[in-house]
Amino acid sequence: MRPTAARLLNILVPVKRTIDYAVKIRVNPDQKGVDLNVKHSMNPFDEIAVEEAVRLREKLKDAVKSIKVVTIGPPKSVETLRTALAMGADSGVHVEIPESAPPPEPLGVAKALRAVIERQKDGVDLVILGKQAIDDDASQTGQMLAGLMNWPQATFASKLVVDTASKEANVTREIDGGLEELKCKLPLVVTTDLRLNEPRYASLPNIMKAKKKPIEKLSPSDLGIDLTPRIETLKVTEPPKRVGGGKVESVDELIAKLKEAGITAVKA
Amino acid sequence: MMSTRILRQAKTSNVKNPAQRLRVLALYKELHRLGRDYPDPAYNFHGKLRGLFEKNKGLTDEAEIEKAIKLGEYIRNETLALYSLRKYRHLKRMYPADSLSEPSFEKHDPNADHSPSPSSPPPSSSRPPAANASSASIPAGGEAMT
Repeated sequence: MRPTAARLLNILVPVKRTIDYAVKIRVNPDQKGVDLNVKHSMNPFDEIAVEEAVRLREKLKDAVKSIKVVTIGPPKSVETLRTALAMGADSGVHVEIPESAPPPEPLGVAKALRAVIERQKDGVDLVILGKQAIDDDASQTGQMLAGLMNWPQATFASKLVVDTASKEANVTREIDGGLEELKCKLPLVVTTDLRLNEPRYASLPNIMKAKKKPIEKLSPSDLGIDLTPRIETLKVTEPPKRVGGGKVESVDELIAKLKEAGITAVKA
Repeated sequence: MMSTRILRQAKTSNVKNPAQRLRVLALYKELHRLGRDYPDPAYNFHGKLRGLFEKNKGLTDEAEIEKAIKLGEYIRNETLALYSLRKYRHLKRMYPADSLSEPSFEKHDPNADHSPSPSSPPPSSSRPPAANASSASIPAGGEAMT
């Protein structure tokens, strides 16, 4: 009997449907949220995560057994899954919440992801997700998931090299003041930074092919989790409008303007 | 669908090279779909696309058709590059390398982004020269002018 390939990777890539990066955000009159009736697309950092998974497969070939994408969101989130499938993922999981439900919080998402991982018969060796979502900028989900699963985490990754034979990964992280290299054992949670890769644009033939790829639909109750928010948004406001800078003609004028603004000289 | 007229024309005309015809149609559909995301609302992408394809509908020489296809593919690649660069530049500005998770609202003025949004006035000489010019937003605006 031929020995089966011992070290196969099952990669899970959670993705989020967010307001498109190019949209100008408008705060609602009630100051409790923003206008959501605008163009949505996949969180750019999640695109980078999907791209990284696909590139891992291009590099490691058959060692990558499956690339599964998962999203937790309203019915329209399935479009985000389709985009990920068009980029090269194999199958998707849609944890559907009602249209009117409040957006899930990072802890809720992390618990849902843990439940999804525990449902996978073949297990999950690597979870790659975006470092943060451009709508809430929480940067918590990856870290919380690693904590819940008791897995190592390598966040803000700018380079990922996986060794399937030793089931280890070398991750280069972007930190204040430079780069840090970590060696981590799988299973592992990786969050992607901007400089990890350049995501591909899903071409039309790939989009068509993706329509045939399977998407499993689940509900939060199927997973046994509660997505009720624990945080209440009190107020949402726009940042203060930029005031134009002014040009001054001389140093004296500069000092006069600074005094006007209330800036006083430092006492020596 | 937009391309049915093109399809009908293609059916009646050049049947010499069906494989080439299919490539032309696929290219048109791909460019059409790409055009939906074009950042500048003032630029008539679909109109120009239609016009350019219709201009060449009478071509019969295979080599000439091939040349036209190559030009179309070049435009498709350029458009893709435009989209990814625009996105990358925006994200780089919003999430600079030196300040980890915090997006930089201060450094980036959304009104001075590349895409001319209807709300922001173009940073050109339309502003009276004597007035206090908005100095910080000019570098970003300058990029938009090129």
